[in-house]
Amino acid sequence: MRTPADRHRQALAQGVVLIVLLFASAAAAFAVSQRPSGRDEVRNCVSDLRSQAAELDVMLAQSSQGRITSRFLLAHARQLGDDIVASHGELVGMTVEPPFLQLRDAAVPLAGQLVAAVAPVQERDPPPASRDQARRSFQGLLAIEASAGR
Amino acid sequence: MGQFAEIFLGILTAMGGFVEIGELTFTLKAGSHFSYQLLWVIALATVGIMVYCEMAGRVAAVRKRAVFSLIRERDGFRLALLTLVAATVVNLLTCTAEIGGVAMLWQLLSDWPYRGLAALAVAFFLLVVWFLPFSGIERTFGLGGLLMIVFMAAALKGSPDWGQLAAGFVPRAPQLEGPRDGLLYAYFAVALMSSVMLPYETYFYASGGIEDQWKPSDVGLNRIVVFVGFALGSLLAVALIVLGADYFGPRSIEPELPGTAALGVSATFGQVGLVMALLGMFFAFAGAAIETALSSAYNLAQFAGWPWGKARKPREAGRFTLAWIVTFVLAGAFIQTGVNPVDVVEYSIVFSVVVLPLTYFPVLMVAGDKRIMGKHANGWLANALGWSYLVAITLTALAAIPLFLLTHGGRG
Repeated sequence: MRTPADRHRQALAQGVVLIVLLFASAAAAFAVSQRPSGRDEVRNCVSDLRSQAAELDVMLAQSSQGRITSRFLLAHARQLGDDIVASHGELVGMTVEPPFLQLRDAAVPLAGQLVAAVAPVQERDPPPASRDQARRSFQGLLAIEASAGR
Repeated sequence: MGQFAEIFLGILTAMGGFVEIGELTFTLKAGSHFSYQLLWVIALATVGIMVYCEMAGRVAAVRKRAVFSLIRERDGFRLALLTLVAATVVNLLTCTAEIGGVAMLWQLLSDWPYRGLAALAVAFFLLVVWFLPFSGIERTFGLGGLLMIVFMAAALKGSPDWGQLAAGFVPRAPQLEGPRDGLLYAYFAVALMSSVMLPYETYFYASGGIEDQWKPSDVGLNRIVVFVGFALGSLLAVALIVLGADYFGPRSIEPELPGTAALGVSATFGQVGLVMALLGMFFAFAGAAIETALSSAYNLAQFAGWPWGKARKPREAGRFTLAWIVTFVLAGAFIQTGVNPVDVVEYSIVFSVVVLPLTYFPVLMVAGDKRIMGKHANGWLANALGWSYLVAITLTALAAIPLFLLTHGGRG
């Protein structure tokens, strides 16, 4: 029969194993996060931006047709804008493997253009230029994504 | 209330409460990326949730036993504790995502700051759960969630390709753009399965049956509500896949935000459709937030043997009451750290799969045990389906985390 001391030792051993596992997982996650990004990571980031550019275009089109309220346009542009800024930041801050640097570098200005396109939409009366900018970003990002392949 | 009215309301409530933020996100994205090819997963998962909710509801009606007291009894203390911890983490993540989703929707309606609205949402939920009776909560949010039908109308207005749609219900080798799409297809299949069969739904459904004081004579009512309500609810999920395939896919949009989903409706029905979509999502997410918080409290109380239930006064079920309050407060605090609710959705859906076998195994064992259930024990069909699904969800659970990692969290 197990004594309280046995149970205490077993609980201690289980606790140590759990802590070691947690540290090992954290170390593995850190090591993975420090690895330079490859084609998949760059393409995924470009895909996110392409989808956001397409959405901005659709939203502005619906706004000009009176299908969405101006309040919705402002608020959704803010939410979408946060995602665009985050994706842009991710792309710019990426440490990329040398073969994919060109891919990333081609996408960065288009991502910047998209950030510039969404910013005025977050204010009242967005300029028509925003939609053109969004569309140009979309076309460029789509081409880069296609060149990255699947 | 007459039994017919009770059945009718039960069906509508089950239908309106079927979709939550995880299902909305994954169905729209699955449709946008793979067109109708993943419809079969919705059908498969819907039958799965019907099978297990029917069993859990039957056990609740016949034996007045809820899921977690069965888990504790059948799995023993250690495994039950592990299941409790995992289920609580998943419930907390899901509750966080739903509260974040509600705050995003309120922002779309008011243009007020997101974090303030998230805090307001927590206060709103605390007041609603404190003051409304169980049936009031269930019906308000379940029936309000029926506004999601506007997504179904938008999908139908988009003139889907009915031949392709029907073909989507037959599992087959998918048409993919590249080799990595195969992994992504598998990831979406797992995520859709999980989003329909979320474990909190079973915990809440069985506990709700006990709250509603079901008796053995209510076994038929349970069966009708589960089969008809969930079947109709799954039509909403199918409509979301269709909308993703026909509206978002051709426009190269992979919807992530609730507002993006609403754009799929406003394209067809304009501002009226937009407001209906936002309100429908509000009721659906809010209902799910309440169900996850209450599920956490139900699970903990049933595991520990504390008095529980919304029908009891808070003083009589103090620890149960404290548990749901703490769940809301923790979820609200998590949102205030600035975490993106859409990212939380991904984690909650993937980790939910891992909890599914641990949740469903004891339900299957008890529902099939003639010594416990007597004439209400599983027949051969319920047992065959139960075991088949248990094997399927166990395989799904094993595949979930590797697929999540291999697809960079479902990004490709």
